[in-house]
Amino acid sequence: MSDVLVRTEGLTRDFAVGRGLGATRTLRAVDGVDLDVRKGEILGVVGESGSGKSTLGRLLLRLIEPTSGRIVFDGTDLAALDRRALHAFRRRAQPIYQDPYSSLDPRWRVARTIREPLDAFGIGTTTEREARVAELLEAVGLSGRHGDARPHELSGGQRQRAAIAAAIAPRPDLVVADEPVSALDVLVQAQILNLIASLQREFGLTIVFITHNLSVVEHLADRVAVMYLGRVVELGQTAAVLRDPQHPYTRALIDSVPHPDPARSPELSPLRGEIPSPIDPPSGCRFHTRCPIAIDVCKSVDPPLRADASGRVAACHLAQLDQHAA
Amino acid sequence: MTVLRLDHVSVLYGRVSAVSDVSLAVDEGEIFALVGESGCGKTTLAMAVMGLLPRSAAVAGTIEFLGRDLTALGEDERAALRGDRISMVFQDPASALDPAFSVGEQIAETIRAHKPVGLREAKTRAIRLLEEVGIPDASRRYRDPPHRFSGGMQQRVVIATALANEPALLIADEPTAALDVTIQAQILGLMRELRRRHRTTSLLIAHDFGVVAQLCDRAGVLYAGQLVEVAPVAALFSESRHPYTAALLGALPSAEHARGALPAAPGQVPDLVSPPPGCRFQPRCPLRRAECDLVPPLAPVGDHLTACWATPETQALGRELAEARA
Amino acid sequence: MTAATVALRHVRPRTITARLGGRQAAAGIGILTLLVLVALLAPVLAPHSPDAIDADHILAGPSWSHPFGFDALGRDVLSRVLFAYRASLGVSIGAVALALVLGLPIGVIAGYFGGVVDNLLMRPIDLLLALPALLLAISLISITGPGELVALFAIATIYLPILARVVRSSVLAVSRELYVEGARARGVSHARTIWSHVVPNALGPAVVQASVLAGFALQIEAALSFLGLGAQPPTPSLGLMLADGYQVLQQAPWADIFPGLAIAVTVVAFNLVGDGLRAKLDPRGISG
Repeated sequence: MSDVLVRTEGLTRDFAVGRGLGATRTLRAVDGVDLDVRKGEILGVVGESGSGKSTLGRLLLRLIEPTSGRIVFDGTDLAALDRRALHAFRRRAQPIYQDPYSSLDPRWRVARTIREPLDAFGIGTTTEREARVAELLEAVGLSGRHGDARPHELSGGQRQRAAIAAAIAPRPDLVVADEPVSALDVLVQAQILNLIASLQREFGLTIVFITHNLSVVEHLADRVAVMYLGRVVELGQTAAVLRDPQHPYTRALIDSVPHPDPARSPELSPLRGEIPSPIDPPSGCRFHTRCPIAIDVCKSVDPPLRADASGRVAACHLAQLDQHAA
Repeated sequence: MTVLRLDHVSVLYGRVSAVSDVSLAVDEGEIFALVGESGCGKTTLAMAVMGLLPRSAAVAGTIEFLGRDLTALGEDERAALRGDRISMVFQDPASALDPAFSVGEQIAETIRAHKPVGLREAKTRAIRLLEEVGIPDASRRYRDPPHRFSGGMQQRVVIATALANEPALLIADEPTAALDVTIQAQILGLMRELRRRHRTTSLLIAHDFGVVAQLCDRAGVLYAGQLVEVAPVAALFSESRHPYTAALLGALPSAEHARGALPAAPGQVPDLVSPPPGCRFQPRCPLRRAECDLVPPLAPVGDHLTACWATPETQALGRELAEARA
Repeated sequence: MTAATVALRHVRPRTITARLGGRQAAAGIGILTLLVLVALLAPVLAPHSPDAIDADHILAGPSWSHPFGFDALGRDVLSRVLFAYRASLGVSIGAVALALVLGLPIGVIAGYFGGVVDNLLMRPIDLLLALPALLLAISLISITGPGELVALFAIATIYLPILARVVRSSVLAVSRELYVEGARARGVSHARTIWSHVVPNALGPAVVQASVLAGFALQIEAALSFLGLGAQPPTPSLGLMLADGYQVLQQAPWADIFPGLAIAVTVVAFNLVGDGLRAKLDPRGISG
């Protein structure tokens, strides 16, 4: 078990949603997620809007509290942490966001943002911190001049580099990156993906990489978890999942991606219907309303996540997994 | 027949050279894509055709639509064309629809603004359009305001509105970029179907090569305001002639490249206040040579039109010009 | 890393509105500084005693030695305007400062923590907001009796909920920014996050609102005095002067026009500062 950095057990998070006057309803953004994140891996988490992938990320960083379920980080239950221990945990788990414009204080020179965690966690002496900021800027491909700039003076790629520098400043073990390249153009995206990969290698980071982009997952992630309406519906080695998806939603997701290759015929039978509202999810298997292969049992019985010997996990009554593990 | 012809079009916002000397022609019945990263001028060009650029923008060159120079028309004449002969689909359907009116009324209004038809007739046509774009139960949903529709359904309504007067040219600016991937696949399917049925000449603005490959006949690649390559989509993807196009296609993340080894072109998009002389891609170009300080002409190279001095067809001329200058 | 050599992006030239805003703010601040100086130096600048009565010149028109003329009691209008202005400006700036000092922490804490804290702090504030402003001031004065200090407190009471609300809503917006959540992940305490990220970024709208309200305060103070609820005679007050001058507007318009002008110029100056700050305070240099 020592190779697991974070483990979630039945992780669930509800939000109250106001509906008109007074009446509130519950939106279950994350619903009973069991997930292991292994040390040193890049775990891709893919899903569409309403899949709960971002909420999962914020839960893993304990930026929001779970409604129920547990998160065990390096052997310690996060719920049991007191203030001091939580502060110590924060140092070890850092976020990277999609929009670096919003994740950098517009009034602060970026060097100050990068320095902020060093000050907050009391890392090094004042002069050491200065040197460390310079080192970090260089590590992400920026110069001191960029450090003296405010976010609006930088390009999107440079801003994301600065945000990454701030995230790795306290030498975290875990980085949760929520769509870190989705707002970037292709060439900048490639630069940032290369940067993330090189930093991961250099610092032995464990990265939870949240994205809607399967190509990015294919390129970067060791394993991938596919989420639909708050649940993990499939999990496994990236190459295996993408080559031979066991869950019909994963299949549909893969088929929906338009390929930059005109010779490949377009997906002729795209998934029908809309993504149901997570406020009012379908009964049984949550995917049955859109599933091309659904049978009667799918409408009433919620399929459990089943694993096979190779570690492939899928939540589908019809998945062709070896049936010997639960 | 040529529906739209741009002849040496340049757009300046103050000192910012957003579009520089772009010439291209869109033929009847084809879907022509303008591809490029943010800031490359693709949306500016679309807006120039629509006549929706801010007053501060200075447009040079001619924009010919069905043989008429649009830049010579008065604002009233251009307004009469919009929504009738030229219509537009925007990226964000939620802001393209007026929240205060029912979706059906918005379509009917678009029809009545340009055609002498009665309310009843307009309504019948609007319902037929809603049915055509796949809104179930269209006659009932005619009365529903936009917020009762999901993002995908709203985009269908926007498309119906754009097609209401059977335009001679449809401009679609990133029509699926705001949608989830399974919904995007549905909308792409719809657009292919509509295209088969109506053969509406279209100008598609996109940054996603997958969308371009699946939907378009020809594509023009823009970089920093310059049109660098025009080619049939199949030729463009199988064999890009311009180093920028090659860089873009090569940088798409996939499992083909080792993690962290995406071929990302170095550097970043130039400042459009003082762009580099000649080819604006030259500071980042692996094939850079002396003559790149001169703007390369968009010259036929095989099936392509390519603006590059490094192709076998243009090398000799480039060298000659460079020597003549030196 | 090749990008290390990459140049800084060209900083977008400030938009015309932002530049105009800058000039506006400068003009506003210039006028306001002048006005404050005039108020402070009133005893030095005033050519005559504000209370000295010259029975021979009742309602006499402007002259070289008395540029604003005389009022109905034969007092020098210029000197009275200067002293009255001093009192009125003191009340309006004092009232806004007091409302800001109280409203800022309330709004910041309510907006940042939200939920129960928000409700506990903001409901009473809303109650205050629900009462008609002038009525609130008048009833306050009816309890304590009139006077300048009471006017100051009355105006502060009216402004407190307005400013607290403005602060709360801008704090609410800033708190949703990812750099605030990010600061928490970077181990920064709530107090520090509020102090170094939230307040600086949320202050803009409050300062803008405060400067506009300061202009209005002058009018409220004048209105209260006009109604006999503010400064009491013979203390010179712009409102009182307006009330008195109004009686003789036909014969001696200068007795009414000059105090009125003093109010108008100040309100315009405060508004200029407000509009200017709105443009200036956006760090991106884009007014919005």
